[in-house]
Amino acid sequence: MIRLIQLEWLKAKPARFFWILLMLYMALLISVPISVQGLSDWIIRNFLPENLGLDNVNLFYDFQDIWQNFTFVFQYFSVFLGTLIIIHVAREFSLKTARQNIIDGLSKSEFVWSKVLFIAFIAALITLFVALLALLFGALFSPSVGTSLMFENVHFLGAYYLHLVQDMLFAMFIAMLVRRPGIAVVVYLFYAWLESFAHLVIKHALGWDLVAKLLPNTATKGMIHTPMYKYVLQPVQTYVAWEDLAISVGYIGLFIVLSMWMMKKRDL
Amino acid sequence: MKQLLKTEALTKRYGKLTAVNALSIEIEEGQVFGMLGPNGSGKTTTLGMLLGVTEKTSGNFSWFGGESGPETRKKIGAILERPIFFPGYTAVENLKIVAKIKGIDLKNMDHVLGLVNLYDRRNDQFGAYSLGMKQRLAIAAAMLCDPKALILDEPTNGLDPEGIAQIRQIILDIAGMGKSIILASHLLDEVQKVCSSCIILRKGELVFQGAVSADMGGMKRVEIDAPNREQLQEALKEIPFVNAIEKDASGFLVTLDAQQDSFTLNKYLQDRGMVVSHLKTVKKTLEEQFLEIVKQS
Repeated sequence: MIRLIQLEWLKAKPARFFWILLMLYMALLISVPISVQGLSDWIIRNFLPENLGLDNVNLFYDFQDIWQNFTFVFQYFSVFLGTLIIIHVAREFSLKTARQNIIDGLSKSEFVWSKVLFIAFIAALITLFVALLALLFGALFSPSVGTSLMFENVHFLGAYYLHLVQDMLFAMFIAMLVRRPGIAVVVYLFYAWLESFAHLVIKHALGWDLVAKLLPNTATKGMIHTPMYKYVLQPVQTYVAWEDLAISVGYIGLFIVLSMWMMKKRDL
Repeated sequence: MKQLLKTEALTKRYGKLTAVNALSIEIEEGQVFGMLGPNGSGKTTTLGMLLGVTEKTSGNFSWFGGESGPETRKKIGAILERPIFFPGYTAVENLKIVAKIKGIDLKNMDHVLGLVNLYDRRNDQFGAYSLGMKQRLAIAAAMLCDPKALILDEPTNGLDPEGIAQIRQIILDIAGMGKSIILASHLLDEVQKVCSSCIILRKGELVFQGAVSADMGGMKRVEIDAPNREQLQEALKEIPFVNAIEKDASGFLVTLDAQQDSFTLNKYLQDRGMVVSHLKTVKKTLEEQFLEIVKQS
């Protein structure tokens, strides 16, 4: 297992696109808490009754809420990681290095597992990064600080981790299906657009809530509910539901099984 | 001698096309074995099946007297069709990946880079290499695990004469270390220069198996001339063991059955009162024999 992660690391480390996309993604993550101060002020000024006395209080960084706030917003940048994984995986087919790997003695299932483990590894690193970011901004700006409060809703990180893994495994699956980096990225982005459209139709026009919830891109973002409504005093789900986690885990399993099946079935 | 490779009725079909048809061969260890055939004769498809990248339709194969699978491939160094590496990575970065897959350490790396004369260029990007250097790096990668067998598919394809000479010398050097080598090529000359025995494939069928030096064609050719060419041609036409008569600058070129030679031809003509002015057995080049074998079958 360690060998397979090391192998992926050797493949990724010298690649420029890997570092560019990863740095871009991390820069975007950092940009959110930095720029959100203004947004928070705007919400307080325009939507909240003045008599609450919330001037100069930064709601977004409030401990307890910060985990859900951060992870919810960060989910929308995962497309960069998906693109990174697509290029990382699909180029192995277009360059034929996948073929040479098998010739050199990697089994086809090891080839898939090394990608899966690498994705799990990258997701863990990014989750750790997000945890540090949340702790840092929370410690600096949270109106309420205290160790008991600080880690109250930390389980959102777990949901975020599953979201990252599912998203990147979906990208891996598309890459193994399409095998050409450029086309695979287009398919991946087009699918995201298609699903958001299909989601609208299924959920709002047809009213099939459960089916809408089961769509992969909806499911991957469905674990962490929108926290923003609370700032306009609407009810918000501030926990992660087990059934949402189960759907994501189901997709994770499905993408691994499908990728494995395709890899074994097709010539290289 | 220990067995290197055995295939039994190995077959690959792509829809209606049969790329390799019921190939059964046995190769012993410790020799340079040639796999010869024109482009599209099934050489790479066969090697692809033996190396786990092409799914076989039917049949069986085994390495080293009964092994197959990824662990076996780790003991084999192989290049199929062309050198494959990450173009933006240096030779060293690429070789590290190969070593990780094979589960070996890097102590052999400097040695194999030296073997193929790339040590000085080891920190240059693969994409910046010339074709000959790429091919040599592929051989270095194949040699990295100190393999029990080396498989080279068209290793000199597209190289200039100097590059070809370098690769051939490297192959001979490696063979000198006692390694088993399987060399696939469409160039007869190449197989002739480095291989001890070979098979010839044509459209996925095995058409010849044997030593490279043996008479692969099974027929002899003789140059013959006489003062009266018309009379000679008439006489030749009547000889039962003459298979073909071609006119050329110095008279005729006749093809005889394998059991006959210039002596029996001359005697036959003398018995019928013909005297010849020129008689010479033409040693067929392997190239011609190869073309003949491929054409016939």
